[in-house]
Amino acid sequence: MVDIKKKRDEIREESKKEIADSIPKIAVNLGIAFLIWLFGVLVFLPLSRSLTDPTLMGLVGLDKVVSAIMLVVLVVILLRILKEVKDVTDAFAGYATLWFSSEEASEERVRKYRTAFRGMGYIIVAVIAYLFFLPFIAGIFRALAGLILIILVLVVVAMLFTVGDAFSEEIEDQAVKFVKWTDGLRDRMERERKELLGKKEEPKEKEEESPK
Amino acid sequence: MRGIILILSFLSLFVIISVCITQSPDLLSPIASFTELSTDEIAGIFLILMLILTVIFSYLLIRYILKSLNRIMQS
Repeated sequence: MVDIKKKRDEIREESKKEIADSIPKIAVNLGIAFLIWLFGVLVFLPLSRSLTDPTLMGLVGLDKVVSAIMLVVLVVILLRILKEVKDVTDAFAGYATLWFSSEEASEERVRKYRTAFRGMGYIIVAVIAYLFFLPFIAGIFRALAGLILIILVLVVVAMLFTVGDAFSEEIEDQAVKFVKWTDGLRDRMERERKELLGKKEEPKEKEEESPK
Repeated sequence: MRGIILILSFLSLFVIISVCITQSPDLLSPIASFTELSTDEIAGIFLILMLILTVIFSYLLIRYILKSLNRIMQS
């Protein structure tokens, strides 16, 4: 019991430290990425398509070049904060685990929840990153966006299986509790019904007895 | 504060130049006259140049804003 409490405190402290350490770095880099993204999507991409000859030296579409430059810049920024994003996701997963699991949950179960929440966090980050890159990927090669989407869906499905597997014990416990609760409810209703029937039968018996 | 305004002015300038050269590439005909490239092609090259400068200045802007904020918080 002491060990579990200690472990929970450890997770809490670890998460707090990671968030305090990583959030400022992520905020700076995300600010830069967002500003560049805004300029790219709202200014440079439409402008590159507005020329009468929208190619670079007649070789490649100007919008493709602009998209590629933006994509490279954003990927560089993302790679710089990848480790921090992972740390923050893990930290939030730690907090979610503490909130979700009961005080008596075993270490093994807490570890499973943490893995599950981590998986969910990664899925959310991957989807946001895909949406962030989508205009530029589609600008380079439209089919590439679809291909990446298919890969993303497959990875997300595989991750969701892991997440579901980690929560399966908890779902099973909750289902057992629910069944017990419904059984108890049914028993009580049965008992009350019998009591009510008994009460109704009593006056009848009295009525039958009285004329005699 | 002066630095931030300067960087913002540069960013606005890059955007304005980009819009001007793409909407009327004929502005670049003096440059095109002594090269073998068409005005559209030169406009494309300028646009990419402006894009790279905008990326660099956006990076500088955020760094500068954060440094200023940090200084204000510490004082």
